[in-house]
Amino acid sequence: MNILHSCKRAAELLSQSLDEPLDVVDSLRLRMHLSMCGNCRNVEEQLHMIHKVGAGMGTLDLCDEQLAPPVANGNPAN
Amino acid sequence: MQGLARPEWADLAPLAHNLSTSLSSCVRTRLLQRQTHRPRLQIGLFSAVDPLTVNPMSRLMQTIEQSVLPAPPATSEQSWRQLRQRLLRHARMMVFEPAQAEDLVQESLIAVLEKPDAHRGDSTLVTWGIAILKHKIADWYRSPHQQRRVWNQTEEAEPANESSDDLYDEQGSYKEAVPSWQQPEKHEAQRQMMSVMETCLKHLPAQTRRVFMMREWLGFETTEICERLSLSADNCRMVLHRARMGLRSCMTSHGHTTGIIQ
Repeated sequence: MNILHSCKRAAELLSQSLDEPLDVVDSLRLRMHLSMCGNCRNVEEQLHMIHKVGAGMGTLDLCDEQLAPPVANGNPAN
Repeated sequence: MQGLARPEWADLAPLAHNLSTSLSSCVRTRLLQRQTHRPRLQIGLFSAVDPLTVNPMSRLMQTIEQSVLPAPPATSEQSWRQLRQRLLRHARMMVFEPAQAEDLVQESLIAVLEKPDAHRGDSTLVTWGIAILKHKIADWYRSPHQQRRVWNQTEEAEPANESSDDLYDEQGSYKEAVPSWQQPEKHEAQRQMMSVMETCLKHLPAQTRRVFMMREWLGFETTEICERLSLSADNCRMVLHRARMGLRSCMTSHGHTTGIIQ
């Protein structure tokens, strides 16, 4: 077994780490992988952002809404 | 204002005054709209009815309607409708039957109107409405008979997120460089990101989306989600991972990138 995770495995662990603590070995290997892999650091940052934005969904000011540029498929009926 | 002199309403007047000052402008103007639509007429109707049969809430509303002087901004009705639409949009992402989603939204809106005192401080009407809706949906999810409707095995034959396996080569490395995202520092950028995320959520398979929303939006622990949906821990992890990576790719393709590849 390779000492480093693949990026695919790293992504799984990144997601898992948002829900539960990783075990020591996984956590260590993940950190090593991240220290060497820019792609996975970007993914990490993005998953964290999704986590953060997800919790706050719907809470930004309604009154700003009509100023928003239309988003593709933004029809509430869909 | 003369209605306030009526003995049976006099005791409500101070309360109504508090309410009318603490209600957000959205709610207040909504009430004003009602007043302009059917002003004194209803007062007459209500006094014709046995006062005991009149719901205290509607009496309160009547009092508020009378004690607030009309000067409704043009957006009032619209704000209220937007709040409703917004709640409905979220409810529909989480709940199957449109009628059920409507009910939950209706209950939330009533709660918004019933407890204006709870709506204080920094929270806007929307924030508060959403918070109430979250509770209603969470309760609904926790009600025992919901389990099978949230997750059903056959539906999971939904096509797996087709892009997730194309992302990696045989070694499990990314085939293409992952672009970084802009940090949404400004309010406007955050709001935009949220709306992109909403759009992207709609592209996820329905069940995957619900599990994601249970976890991230409602804040359920994964153990509770697995248990309620009778999923194995691995299955649960996989669904959440798939949802997150699906959202990530979708949001990237919606332009949440700096264009800088690290």
